[in-house]
Amino acid sequence: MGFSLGEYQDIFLEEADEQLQELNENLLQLEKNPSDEDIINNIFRAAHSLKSSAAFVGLTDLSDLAHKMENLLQGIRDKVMDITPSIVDVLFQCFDVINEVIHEVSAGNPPTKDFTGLIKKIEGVSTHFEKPAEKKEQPITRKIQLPANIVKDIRDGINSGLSCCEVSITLDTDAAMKSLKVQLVLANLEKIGDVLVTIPAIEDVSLPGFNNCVQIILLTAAPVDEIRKVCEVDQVIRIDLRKIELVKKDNKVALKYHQQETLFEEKQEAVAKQPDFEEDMVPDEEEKDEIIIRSKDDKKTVQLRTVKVSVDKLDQLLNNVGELVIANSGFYKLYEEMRRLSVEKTIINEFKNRMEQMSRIAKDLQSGIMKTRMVPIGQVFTRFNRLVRDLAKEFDKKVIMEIKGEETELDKKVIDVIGEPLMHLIRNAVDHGVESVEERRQLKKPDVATITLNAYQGGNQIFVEVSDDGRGLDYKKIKSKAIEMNLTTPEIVANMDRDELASFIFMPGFSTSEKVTDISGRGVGMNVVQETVNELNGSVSIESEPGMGTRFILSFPLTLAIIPAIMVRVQRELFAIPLSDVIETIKILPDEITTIEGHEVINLRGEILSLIRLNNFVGINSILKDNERMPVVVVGYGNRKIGIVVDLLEGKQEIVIKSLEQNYKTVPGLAGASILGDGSICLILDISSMINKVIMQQDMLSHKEKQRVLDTRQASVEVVKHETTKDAAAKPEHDDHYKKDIRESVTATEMPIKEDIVFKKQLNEEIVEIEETQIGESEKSQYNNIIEKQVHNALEEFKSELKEKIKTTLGEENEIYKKLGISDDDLANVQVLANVGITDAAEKLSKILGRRVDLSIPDVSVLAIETIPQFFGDIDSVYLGVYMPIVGQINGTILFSLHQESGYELVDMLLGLPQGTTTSLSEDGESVLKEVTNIVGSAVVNAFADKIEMAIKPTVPSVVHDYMQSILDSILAFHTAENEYALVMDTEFFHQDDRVIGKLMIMPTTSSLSTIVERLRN
Amino acid sequence: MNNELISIAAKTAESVIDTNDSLDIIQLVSFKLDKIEYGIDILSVHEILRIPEITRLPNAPDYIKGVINLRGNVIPVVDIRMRFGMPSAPVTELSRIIVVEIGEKLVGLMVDNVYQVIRLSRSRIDEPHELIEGISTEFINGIGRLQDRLIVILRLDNILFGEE
Repeated sequence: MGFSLGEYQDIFLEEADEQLQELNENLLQLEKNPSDEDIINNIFRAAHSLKSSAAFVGLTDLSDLAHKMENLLQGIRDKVMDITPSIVDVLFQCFDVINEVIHEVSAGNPPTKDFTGLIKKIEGVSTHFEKPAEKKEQPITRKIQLPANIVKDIRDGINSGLSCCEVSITLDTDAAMKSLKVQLVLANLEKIGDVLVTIPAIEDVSLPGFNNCVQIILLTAAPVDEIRKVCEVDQVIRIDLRKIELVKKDNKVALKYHQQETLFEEKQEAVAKQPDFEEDMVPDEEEKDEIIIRSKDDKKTVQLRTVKVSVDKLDQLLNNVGELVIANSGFYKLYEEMRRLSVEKTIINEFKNRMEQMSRIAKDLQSGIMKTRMVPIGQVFTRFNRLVRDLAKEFDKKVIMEIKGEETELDKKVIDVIGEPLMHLIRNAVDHGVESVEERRQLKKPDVATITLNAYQGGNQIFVEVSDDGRGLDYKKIKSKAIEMNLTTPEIVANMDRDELASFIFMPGFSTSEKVTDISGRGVGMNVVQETVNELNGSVSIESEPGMGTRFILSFPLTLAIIPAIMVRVQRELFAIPLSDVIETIKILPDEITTIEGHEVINLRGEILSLIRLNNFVGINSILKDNERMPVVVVGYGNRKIGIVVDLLEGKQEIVIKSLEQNYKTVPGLAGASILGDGSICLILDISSMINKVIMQQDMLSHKEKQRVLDTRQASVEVVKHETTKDAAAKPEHDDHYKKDIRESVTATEMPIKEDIVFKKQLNEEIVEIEETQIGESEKSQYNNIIEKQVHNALEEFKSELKEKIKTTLGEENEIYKKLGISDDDLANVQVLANVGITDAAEKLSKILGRRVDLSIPDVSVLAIETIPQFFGDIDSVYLGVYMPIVGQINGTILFSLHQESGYELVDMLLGLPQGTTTSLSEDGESVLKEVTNIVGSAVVNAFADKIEMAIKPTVPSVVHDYMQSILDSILAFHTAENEYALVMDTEFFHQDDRVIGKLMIMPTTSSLSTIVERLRN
Repeated sequence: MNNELISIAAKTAESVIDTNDSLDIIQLVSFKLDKIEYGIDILSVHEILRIPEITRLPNAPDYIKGVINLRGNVIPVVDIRMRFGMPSAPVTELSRIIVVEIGEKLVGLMVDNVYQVIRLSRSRIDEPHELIEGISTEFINGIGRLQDRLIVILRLDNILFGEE
């Protein structure tokens, strides 16, 4: 390679490329609307970044050119100049020249362009229009008079090689618990440096006079980017940073404030730039030199090194790793074979160890690559700011867009295609959802409507929401339109609930809009939304309240690549049904099937369930015998469900989805294929298309016929447990499913009651005699009894198994330690560390709560992952679990679990509400719990990070409100893929009166666990 | 698997080289179905496989034999006989799947055998005739002549999808 700009060349080129793109787009727009300040700001920003990055790699000429552009634009921004075609022309010329230079450099040639001509041109246009006497801007930020001791600290800090800066944090005016947020930011900053002083003092933040802005003087060695990251807390809307340096003048050392730099701003308003100024001094003429010197120093601190990789390459890698995992499973067979042949024991054991190690590495690799595919959704969201603004203008409505959860990460594949469905939803929201200003005034709603984009993770799903506070869905109109379009009959519609009605809007060509505008009303958009989401194995649901607004919730599986599935067989052919679609698996007798108009249905707990025979669907014969119990997989999609009759249930398995389109095309009824451990292929059924097909037939059935089925006896259902087909390694999972089944049965007992209401409603309309209900009822109570018995038995069985398990676990524990090479001393070390961290956490917690918090001494133990649920005795109670993955040199999860009631109590306390106000988890409540976990968890993480001198960072916490079992399941699902053991530090926090607040658990991954132990020994 | 291809090439290298030694030569992988010899441009051949386990694909056309696992890729297999409207033949020891690249897609073509690798001068390729034993011209690129042999050079674009 010829000419090079050194090691940062690639980063520079990549950045420059982005900036050029932005420049180009914005210049084009500028031509169309020359008065748009946003565009000018964008161009200004691009020129500014280009200026600094060019200077950074030593392309000073380029930097100068960009600097001139910046000046020109500054003039326009300050309104001392007007945009004229000649200015735009010059800007375009600059763009072309810069583009050429970048290309030259990337081709490995030194830049040859001479900019002097162009720079003269710029000066020409600027001086021509510039009004005389350059205005001096007044600094807006309060000038801080720092006390002498602080100044001394700053001086010492800088002299010892740290850099000093003033960070200004602006909070959202509406932010709840401002002091908590500020504390969180401070806690985060403490991690990366020393906070010398805050203005106003932290105690004053909660006072009424607080203007939402806190200035923090920080001594740190961390790069600017790091500072930004740690300050980016929920509801912080703006972060500004000014470097503070020492300058010598007249033998006096003074502090010099550099230009303020906005690191982060929620609303894309004009960036308020402030010129440099010095404390008690006139501006320094040598400024420019200093910048260059500074940038040289900065070189050391540039740490963020990213590489752009094409998704294709990642896919290829993922493919190869998948192969590796599969190939690896071949060793298991070999191992079994060796054992059978009883080869030397030690060799077998050694083989097994190596094999397991390899499989772990392969799985780590797999999950690692999968994680690289995750991209934050923010970039998609922010695109719509413009759309909403333009649409609102067009329709003469007042709308603002709120964005939440932009840091939520989704699979790249989802990110790539989610834009279009979101665009349709947003368009609809502005066009149909939001009322005109007059209408809103009449309804006493605020003039400005809000459209909210939100993304968050819950369990194994990612949710993306588009909501508005407009008029909501017009169910009446939907009804009449559905009948008009012949999609249904008035009879059926009368019995439909809102969800069912809402699902009509996804039908192609369905529109309730009276007028078709160029952007919406054709009835195409919602269909696109549904189809796109389906392609990604996701689903759409609608919540709407007339007059209050509509919320569309798109949910996607956490990762598209691997999903759990129920494996079923027809003859020898194996098919997979995604577990997300499965409601339950049951067995029924053939004579319980009723055939109406050639359509097979059963009465499942008082509800009509249409059946589809998988063998017919795939075109082969079934091998079920006539009087044999038939396995049925009950699957649901939206609010519809059907039963799929199969020959054999194989069990649950994790499968990797491969598309059929890649080398062929979409096949009706199939969602894709998967390659199994032995290299064979199994096909994945597309449940949504199967259901749509069957439901259409079912809707055609007359009401009378349906009633006839409902009157016949209910199918005696045997609920089938899902056992994992995987080999011995996965055996302990068995237990979890068992518990799940119990829960399933419990919910099942509740179902008939709900059914009953529907049942009665229908009867009222039909004017059938009451005796029929009684039959139904007695049958149901009988049924309830059966279920109760089942649950009881299952519970008994489970309890005895649990006892067994605990016994074996206790026995195994020593073995685990031996295997992991952990001695008692090591455990004691970890315990000491845990004590430090948790004491700190308790202190933080009591500060937040403003009262004393006691804690139990952490109980440290290493457990096999599967046995963790048993450590929580009360797995069937509802808890609020906040889990926070930790990443860096140590990986794992922190779980803060609160009993539902104590969780609500905590929320009340923190939000300053009277006790007992919170009865369900609101968004605020969730945010409070996350914040608390962040603070408490970070304290522990910091203790570890300090002691073992490793970089560990907590990430964004998520709240799961569910049975303890499910909370653990969602964490374990995340973990089992990677490790078998967890270090569990179990500690309880108490109120003064001994009531338990919650438990804190830390679960590092197995490899991280070894790292911790090793580090502690040294 | 490529080894097989190479060994085929080696076996036949000496025998069937066309006299014209210009750059204008194409190489064909040839196979025989019911006495007619067909050739596929070697540049579109990815590899040649023995018949692995094939998973039937329901709701797909008859000529799609199913899908196979090619090192983690799921690729469709076209039964060439069915595609050409011939009666299907049993799978034998000689049966092979020729994996070809059609556009971005990898497709397996199931054939009765793989016969030879042939070098052929482009000047010896004629336009497709109207009728070659009932095979539609949509699958034919041209007819190659090599001494007394006629080789039907296949056009792959329409092999995977089409009205049939």
